[in-house]
Amino acid sequence: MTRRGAVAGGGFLLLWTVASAAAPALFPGPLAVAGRLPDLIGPGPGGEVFGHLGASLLRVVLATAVGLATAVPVGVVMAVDDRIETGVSLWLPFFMTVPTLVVVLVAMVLFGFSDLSVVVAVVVAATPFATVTVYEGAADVDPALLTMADAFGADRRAVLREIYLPAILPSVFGSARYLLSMVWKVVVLAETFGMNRGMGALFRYWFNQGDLTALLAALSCFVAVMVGLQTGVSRLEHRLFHWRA
Amino acid sequence: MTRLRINGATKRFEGVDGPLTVFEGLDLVIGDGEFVTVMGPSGCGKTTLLNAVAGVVDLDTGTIEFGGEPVEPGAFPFGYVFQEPRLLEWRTAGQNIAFALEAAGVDASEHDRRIRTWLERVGLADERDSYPRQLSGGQRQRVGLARALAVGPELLLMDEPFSSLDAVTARNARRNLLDLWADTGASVFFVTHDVHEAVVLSDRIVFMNGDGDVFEAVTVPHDRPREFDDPALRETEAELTRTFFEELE
Repeated sequence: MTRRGAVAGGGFLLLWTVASAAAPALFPGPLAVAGRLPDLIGPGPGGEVFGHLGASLLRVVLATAVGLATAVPVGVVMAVDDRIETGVSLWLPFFMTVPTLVVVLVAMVLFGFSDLSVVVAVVVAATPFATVTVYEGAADVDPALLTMADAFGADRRAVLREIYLPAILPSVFGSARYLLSMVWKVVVLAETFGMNRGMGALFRYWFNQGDLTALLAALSCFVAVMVGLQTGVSRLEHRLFHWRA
Repeated sequence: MTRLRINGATKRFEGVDGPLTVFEGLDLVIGDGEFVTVMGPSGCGKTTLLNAVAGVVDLDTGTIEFGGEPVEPGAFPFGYVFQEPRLLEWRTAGQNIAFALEAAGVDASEHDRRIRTWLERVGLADERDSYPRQLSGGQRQRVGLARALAVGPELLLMDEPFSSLDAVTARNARRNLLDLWADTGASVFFVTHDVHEAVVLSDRIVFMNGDGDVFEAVTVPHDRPREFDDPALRETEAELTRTFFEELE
């Protein structure tokens, strides 16, 4: 963890402690929450947190991959062809304004409480935003560089590899980060509604028990994994784009 | 011997109020090893003319000969130095030159030697692994010059390459260019709107007006090597400045 990350984490824990000291009945403190972790790790209903995490993670990775696999080609084609850009742009605001909750509900009705409904919900709810990010990156390719490549006689493959791909890559990463954060939320929302496995199911269980401390403990596990995943993507991004420094 | 001959070049663009003629029936000759500068106000079509020679922009009419043979635009050994460096920011100085070498079809076994040689010749031997953002404006432009020379050009196209540099850096860059030009024997087709630059660098200066017509062509009457501050050069500069501005007024 970086020094800045440690300071931010420490600050958060401190705030949490102060807040729980002010209203202990309403808001369990970090130590009380940590004390419930064994219940979550152990077997039985409300336990097996790693199994639930794994199930959610798999859905998140799958949905992000499908989202990216849709957003990148659509975004690039939009940047290259004006007619496609006009056609797709007409529909984007519609998908971007439908509330995520409604998307999840409709997907659940159509496809039942399955992984398919989660992936469909994510693609519909999150992909339009990612598509716009990729499109903006691809449309931003410097025409002066294309002229340079043309003047030196570069072929189409070299232009794609050396100019288009590096120009698009930052926005692909931006989309991946956005998708990851968005997908987690949609996945958990869908799981909370009616799936048996996944962090959403665990949240629902502890919510029904009225156990806020255990619910926060489950949430802490979830947030830790999510922050770890985002950090991984950021590090990879940093390594790939060191030329910007 | 003639290296480049442009015959009756015409270029029109579609404007908002109909077709816009950039230049019409333009002729230009550049001899072997000759340094020719086209001077003209902004928007007179200088860059379009360079791009047409490079084959990046299509001519509406006109032909191009290279070494006495009719050729398609851009289908001859040339290097291009642009107004801005136009480097790939995600590639090092060396990799930027490699990109041009690969594009120009230079054998891969030659790349390393050429990159080393030309970076050294522009004074950037230690910057081969530096990214453009780590270099100064003047250094980036020198990488652009090394890239253009590395492909082994017989004609160097240069579009106001020093216009964005500060006075001292530009002056050093001009001196460096003259040394390299003398060594390579390449012809240079240079474009600028700076009379001083045109006088210190060129063998011949061709003047274009705002309508894209050539209205004057003069041979610079000074031996080389030239002292940039030579009063005789300054006098020529003043004379040509008068000619230039009288036509434009």
